[in-house]
Parts: sequence; C-alpha cells; structure tokens
Amino acid sequence: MTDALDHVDQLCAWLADTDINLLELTSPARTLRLLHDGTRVTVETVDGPEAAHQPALLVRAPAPGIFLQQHPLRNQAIAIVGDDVAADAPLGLLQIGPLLLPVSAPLTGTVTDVLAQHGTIVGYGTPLFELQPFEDELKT
Amino acid sequence: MIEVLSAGALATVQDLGRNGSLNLGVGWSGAMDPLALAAGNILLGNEENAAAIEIPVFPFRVRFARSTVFAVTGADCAPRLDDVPVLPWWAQRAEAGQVLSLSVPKTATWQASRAFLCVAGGIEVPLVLGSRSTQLRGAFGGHEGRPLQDGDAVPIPDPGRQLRSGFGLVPPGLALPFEADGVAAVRVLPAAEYECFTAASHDALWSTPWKITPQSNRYGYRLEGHELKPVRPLELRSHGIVPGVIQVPHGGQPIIQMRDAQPSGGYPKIGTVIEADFWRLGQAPIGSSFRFVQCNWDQALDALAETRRWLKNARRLVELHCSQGGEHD
Repeated sequence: MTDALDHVDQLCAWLADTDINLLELTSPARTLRLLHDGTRVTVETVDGPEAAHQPALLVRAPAPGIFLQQHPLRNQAIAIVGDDVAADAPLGLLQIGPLLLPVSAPLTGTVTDVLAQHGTIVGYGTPLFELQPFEDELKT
Repeated sequence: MIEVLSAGALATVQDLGRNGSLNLGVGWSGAMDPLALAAGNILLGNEENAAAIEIPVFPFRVRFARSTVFAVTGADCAPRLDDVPVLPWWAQRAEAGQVLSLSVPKTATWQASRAFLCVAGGIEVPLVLGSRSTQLRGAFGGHEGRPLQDGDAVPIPDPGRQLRSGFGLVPPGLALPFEADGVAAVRVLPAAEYECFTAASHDALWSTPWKITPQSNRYGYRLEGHELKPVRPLELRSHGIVPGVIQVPHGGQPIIQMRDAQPSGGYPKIGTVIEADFWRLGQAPIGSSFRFVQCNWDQALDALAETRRWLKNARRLVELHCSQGGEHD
C-alpha cells in the first residue's frame, strides 16, 4: 500500500474541484486532514496515538459485587491489558454470593487498562476496564 | 438433538438417581457428582433432577443440532464452542450446528475428574422406574441402557421460551472445601461391623490417607492404604448395601460402593461415606488420596443441610437475576 502523503498534491487538486470541505484519512500512525474553504486547500497532519480520534471506553460494573479478573476455577485472568476482545465477550466477572455475572466488552476492541483489583468489592457503575474500540466499531 | 462426535469412554446419561428400586435388585445409578448436576440444572432453570451427560474421559465433542442453552459443570475441561472459549459453570447459548469440545480437566484449583453437560430442559430420554439414569448392569435407562458412542443422537427438548444465558455459578467444590491435614476428606459414619476391627485398623482408617487405585469406576473405588484387619475372621451372609458403604474384603484393602454398586454384598462394613460428601468422592481422580473423617448422625444431617442451603441460595440468586430486565441472548 502506498502512503497517502505521497499523493497529497493530487488529492488537493481533486478536492479543489469539488464542494467537499474536509477529507480526513486516519491510520494508526497519523491522521491527514485536507481542509477546503472553497478557494484553496490546506493540509494538516497529526502524528502519534492521539491521531485516532476515538475516545477510550470505560467498562463499568453492571451491578455491585466482588470484582474477579479470573474465573474461580482458573489461575489466569480472562482479559489483560493488550488483549483484543470481541463485543459481548466477558472481560471479568462480578461475584454476588455463588452467582457470577459477566463484565462484558460493549464493543470489539483492545483492553488498554484494568482499573480495579481482583477480589475487591465494587459498586454499581465503578469503572473496571478501559477499552479502545476498533475503528470500524464506532462507525457502525 | 445432540450429535455425539467424540464420545471418549463411559460417558452416560444421568439424573440424580433411581431411588426406591433396591427391593427389585436395582441400584441407584445417578450422577457421581450430584451437586454439579443440580447446579448445572439451576443455571438453566431446570428441575434439579433433570438428566445430563456425565463425562469421565476426554476429549469429548458434540454438535448441537438445534439451538439451546447449556452449561458444563463439574471438572473444568476448558470448554470451547466452535473455536471460542466458554467459561465453566456458565449458562451459554449454542446455535444449531455449533460444536462443543471438552478437553482433559485442569486440576490447578480443584481436583475434579468428571464434567456434566447440562442442557435446557434436560436430556430427553425415557423414564425407566422413575429415573433417566443409565443402569449399566441391567442395560436399561439413559441412552439405550449403555454408554454413549460416536454418532449417537441424544434427544434434547425445544427450550420453548427465551432462556437467559451469560452468567455462572461459583463451583461449590471451592465454596464448601473439606480437608484433613491438607488432604481432601470425606465424612464417614461407622457401620455395623466397625467394632469387629482392631484398634490399629480404626487408627489407620481415621488417620492415614487412602489412595484411589486404577481399579475404580462408577461401581466402586478400590482403595490402597494400611491393611484393615478384623479382630477375628468374619463371615457374613449377603445383605443389602447402598452406595457409600466401605467394605473390607479379606485382603484388608477397602472398597467404597459407588453409584452403580449392586444392592447386596457380604463383606464386612467398616463405615459409610455420608450422602452429603458423596460428590467429593465422585470427583476424586484415580491416583489421588483422601482422608476419612469420623462423624455422627447429626453432623451427617447438618452437612446435607449445608449443601441443600448452597443449592437453595444458588437457585434464589439465579432466579432473581433471570427475573430482572435485561438483554436476552
């Protein structure tokens, strides 16, 4: 695949011939923004992780309970930082007596932080995980 | 219907057992871990006695021919639905055509050897003498009176209503541990011929570990340990016995009668494993050791009440969760 930056001049020329005001291209490394004010086209690029304009999602406790990072029969966490998880997949568990409820990923994405300690009592709505949704997830 | 793709060996359909037919010479049968079966049924909104598939040998694989909700309880055998991991002791939805695979149990946190595949509505085999359990000796009950084979089509009902899934239970094996000196233990009532054994035998019974030998199965567990000796040779006529009875044959190495035990025997009985601890024994792997802890009648009843309380509380919380609004998946 070629880099969009190699074709900025061509893209600007095409954009100038339309009534489109903004063309934005985002890759994991950078975002390229072409702004068309009707007379001329200006170019902006943003490098680094903040290029992706998706906010991280906080996954909160769906009920009060004891937060478990791993199933009681297992000695490995269900999801750790850096794991890619599917929408609706359990990231952790809440224990209420013998009952176990899932703390589920609302969207497909990457776990970027675990915000509570295994075995602690958490209240309703306590942030438990930070999830960076995949790009295509937010647009649907 | 569930299609059996890989049956392992000796997987059988079991409910909580065929009680009330000992007078006909028909033993109990039933789940070796009745607590795991009952808990699986609670997760699915079934009656606690609904039939499930008891799986002692792995790998085991089935294909769901219709959509349903299932739970795999008992030993943690890392269930996978198609290629996606499923939590153990978890109500999980399966779509028609999906394949469930179970592998050799992990015993890192709980030494257990048998898994139970429970489905919404229970395995739909005919009742025989009031039970759906497989009676292997008599070759009736369960699925055609025999262990499952590759290619078997096991009938399951249409779940009918929209069932809740996506929640689980903490295995009671973790919530109700019982040990003696750090070794897994079961409680035992002294039996009719207890006093006929030597004092050294009594000491050995209560204070040394007992190993489950490979000559152990659903009929009985042959144990290995200190020799148990009667004060003088004992000859008894055959008499009625029940699962849990610890017999001592001439070699002095005890045998515990398990779920598929025949209903009579003639060896002297030194003790009986209490009903409340039967599930612990049923899950104990071959080669593992455990201890016998003496108890009395009241303690045996208290222990049974404790497991009943656990089940009642689990059912209450599951029903409460399922009655709340929320997504059905």
